[in-house]
Amino acid sequence: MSAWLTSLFANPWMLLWLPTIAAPLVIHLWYRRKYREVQWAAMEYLLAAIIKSSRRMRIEQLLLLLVRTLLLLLVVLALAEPLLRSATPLLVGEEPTHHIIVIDGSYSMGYPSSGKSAFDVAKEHAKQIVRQGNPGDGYSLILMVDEAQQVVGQATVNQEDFLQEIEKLTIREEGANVDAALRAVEEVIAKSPAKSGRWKRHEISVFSDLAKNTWSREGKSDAVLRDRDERLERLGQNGVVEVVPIGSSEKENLAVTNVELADSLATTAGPVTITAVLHNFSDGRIVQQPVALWVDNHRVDQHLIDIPSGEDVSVSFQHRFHLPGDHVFGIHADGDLLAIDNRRRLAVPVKEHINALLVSGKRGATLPLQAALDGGDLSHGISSEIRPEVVSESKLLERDLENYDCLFLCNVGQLTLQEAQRLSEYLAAGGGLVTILGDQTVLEQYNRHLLKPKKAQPGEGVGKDVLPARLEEMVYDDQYHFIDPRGYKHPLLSKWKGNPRTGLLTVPVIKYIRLKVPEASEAEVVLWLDTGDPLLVLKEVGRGRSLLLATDPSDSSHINSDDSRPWSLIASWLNAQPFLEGLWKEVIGGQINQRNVLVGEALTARLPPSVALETIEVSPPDGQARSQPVNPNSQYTTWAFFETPVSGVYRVSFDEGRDSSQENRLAVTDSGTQATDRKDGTMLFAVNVDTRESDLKALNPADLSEGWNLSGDREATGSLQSPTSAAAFPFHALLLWAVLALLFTETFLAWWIGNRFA
Amino acid sequence: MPTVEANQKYLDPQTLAKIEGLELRARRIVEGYVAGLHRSPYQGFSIEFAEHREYAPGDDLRHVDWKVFGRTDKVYLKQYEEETNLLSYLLLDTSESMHYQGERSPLSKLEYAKCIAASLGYLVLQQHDSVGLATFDSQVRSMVRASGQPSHMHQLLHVMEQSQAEKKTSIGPIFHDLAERLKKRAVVVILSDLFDDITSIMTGIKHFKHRRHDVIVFHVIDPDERDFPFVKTTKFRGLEQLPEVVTDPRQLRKAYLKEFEKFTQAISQGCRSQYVDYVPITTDQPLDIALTSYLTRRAAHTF
Repeated sequence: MSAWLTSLFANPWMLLWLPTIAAPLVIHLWYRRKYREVQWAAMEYLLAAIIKSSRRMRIEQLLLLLVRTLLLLLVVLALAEPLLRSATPLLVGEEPTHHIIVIDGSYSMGYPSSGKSAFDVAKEHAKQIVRQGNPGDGYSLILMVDEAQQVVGQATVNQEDFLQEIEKLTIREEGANVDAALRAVEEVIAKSPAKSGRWKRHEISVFSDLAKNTWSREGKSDAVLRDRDERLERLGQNGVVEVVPIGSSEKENLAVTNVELADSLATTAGPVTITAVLHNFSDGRIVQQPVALWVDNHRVDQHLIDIPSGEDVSVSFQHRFHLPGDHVFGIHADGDLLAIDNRRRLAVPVKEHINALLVSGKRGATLPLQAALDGGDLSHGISSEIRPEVVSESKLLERDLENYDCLFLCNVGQLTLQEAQRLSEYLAAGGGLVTILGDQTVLEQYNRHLLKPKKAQPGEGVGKDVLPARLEEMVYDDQYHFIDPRGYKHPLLSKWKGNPRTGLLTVPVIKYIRLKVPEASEAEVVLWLDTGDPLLVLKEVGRGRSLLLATDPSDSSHINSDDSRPWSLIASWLNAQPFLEGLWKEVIGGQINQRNVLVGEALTARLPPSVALETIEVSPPDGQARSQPVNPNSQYTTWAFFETPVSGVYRVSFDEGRDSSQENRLAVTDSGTQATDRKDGTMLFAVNVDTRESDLKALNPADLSEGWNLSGDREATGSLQSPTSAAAFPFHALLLWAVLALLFTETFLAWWIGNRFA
Repeated sequence: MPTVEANQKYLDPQTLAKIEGLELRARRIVEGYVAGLHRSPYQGFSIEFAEHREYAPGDDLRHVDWKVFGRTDKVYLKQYEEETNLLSYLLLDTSESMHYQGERSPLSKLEYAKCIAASLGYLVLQQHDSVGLATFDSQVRSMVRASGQPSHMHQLLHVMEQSQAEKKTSIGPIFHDLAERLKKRAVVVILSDLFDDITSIMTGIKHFKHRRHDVIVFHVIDPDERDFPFVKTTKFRGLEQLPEVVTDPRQLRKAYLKEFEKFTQAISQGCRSQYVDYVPITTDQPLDIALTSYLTRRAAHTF
């Protein structure tokens, strides 16, 4: 069935009845053949009558025939239900329009109003546009999400198919990006054969709740805004860009915006503190809101809290795990109409303890760390949550860094490019690196291999992104320098803040290496020295974190060959233990980052070396498990899973037991201390929504920039006209009325013609 | 004595149609008619004295009433002897169109006309008058000279039964022909559907009138021809060499009736203008109308 037929008629198959309209003619001819025969004497007068009446008779018969044929034609047409929306297609000169329908698919559109979500209302509006379209019009459909999705890219003229596409459209659990949507609109226009002259006009209708976080021009760079305005202007030249605000203005919403562990990693050694942050996006205060903690699908605790309007409130829970392995925390704050952001999950790989690798570049370089990490707890029979392992720098390459939660490089002289590569990968996968400089440090080597090269210096293009700052020079002026926290702004310093007697400000640093944070770097300085040089610099690299300390806290570094004083007196400081503990706690936790992503982000991880599989199995929260091939590498196997459109817990399974010899080997070589959390062959990932979209405050439609045309008539959700009453012109009903009228006409005409001579 | 209803029955064409033989039919008609009269006003009129008329030069002296001349010395003529011997001529149209018999009529036009003719003949002979017969279509087919013999009836019936409807009518010339042939004044009874050119018919009748004949026109029409009651599509096969037509009669009815009305009007007007008795008669009517018309004319002739 050709597309134009289906675009013209709802039931085009009914047109197969069309030949029946010949029935009156056939009956007429048949009756003329079937006559009775009489002999007639008064033929003369009959002939005279025929001569006088033949013209009138013929006209009357034709009229009757016409009425009957028309009657049947109208019946058939009415059965076929023509899809004429208005009288306009009957007029010549109407040019077909290309309707580009953009529907906001962000989850804030799921906010219900009078029983219907804004998204459903938007779909109804879109359908109405289609139904009101003229035959020959083209339609494209774009879902405005973070990356605008062209559901129907190249324009289609088939209204029925297009309506089905709209119907099939589902809301996403992401935000929306206006600029991406506009780009997609331009791509759609480029795809649609406008050059052939088919569509001279493109009508773009954007259905959105006008959420401020999506539409507001605040916080956007000038370049982005200029680009947006230019696009709007271009689009406005060939048509109309219309914004249809959907949804009511009064919305209440509460969202769990963050869930995190107070200590970056969870172990079975001690209780874990989970902190959830809730934000009240409503205008009113929320009282006695239950906030529940769920652990692995069991509710374990609940608090009732009050949240003032527009504010964040933190809730902390404590939980102790008895078994290592992957666990999922869930914070549930149910109750409002937009349910999707009321729950937030945190996938946590719980370990028996934290493994730290201390790489020593010089005898004694790791001693204060060992002391700080062990803390002498073992002697008191308390199991420490961290297990340090000390190796010499030559052993770095032998270790599988994946098994360590954090890595200390202590006064290591130089690192090869291969080592730098390993460190870079380790960081990218979520590892934590603390680099402690010292007298062994070869500055050029560090800079060459551990720093991301600038584009302007291609000659140095071998370095990896490991260090947060460039090492400039060793600084020694025979004076004591003291730490300057500059207002304790960094979270790492929170526990020192307000406690001047901790001695943080009085620990002397005698010699250090001047660090220079590159321009436009994301690295941040945590601590300064009174000289103004950075002492402690932190940078996030990949999912991991890299911390750089400009001086040596141990006694292993000496001022020079003559002066055996250490570079700093941190080791002998009473509070060295919490200070050094702060370092590793700051860098670990990247593995949790790896396990917790936002909707739309990819899940990636490395397979344990013991597992040799070609595929893994990913079970998304919405059911069907899918196989995902892995990417074998020379050293390890990685995998990535990109389809995370819904929030929830994703379970990744790999059947480790298939190759038991490997497992045995692992047990022998790893001395039973590592990878305990993965023995069950599953990893859990939590995918959460980006709660920026939870702010339902709508932009005042009047504040839209000039390029947007505001549609006023469809604003209110309740005023949506039912599609059958007004949207579609009830042409077939009109046809049926005409049929009725013709029926009467035919009856009267037949009676009149037949009987007026009687 | 039969009741009026019973008598009427014999005049009804439905009844007559059941009776085989023209003579029987004619007898039934006349007997039924005569018997149905309570008192015949014409009884014995043919043998009684009618009037005296003054002699005019050229009159036949044989008709002079000498008794009156003897008494009054004036010359009068006695007229009854001549007048009572009434001459009637029945002109029967046997053309093809007369063969038509509609569904509602028990008899075809020709049969009906024959009934009238036979009845009249029988009646005339009963009255001891003379009656002759001529049948014609496109020309005079047979001619029976007038006679008052009772046995003459058989001859008339024979001729009538022999005559079949055929060919086309051309009434006008035949009337001229017959008008020339009928020497004596007579009552000319025309039995025809008159489906021919009206002007020529009228000229023919005028010729009869010119010859001082009394003319009665029995215009025999089938009721279907008068009412045109056809409903379904019909193929009309023309008699008398007219073409065939297939048509829806309902739509034509009005126009046809108008045409037909025009035709009968023209005939009736033409007859009236020449003081000719015009008796339209349909084949479903009782036959006494025909007889009454004739007898009225006969009476008029007598006075």
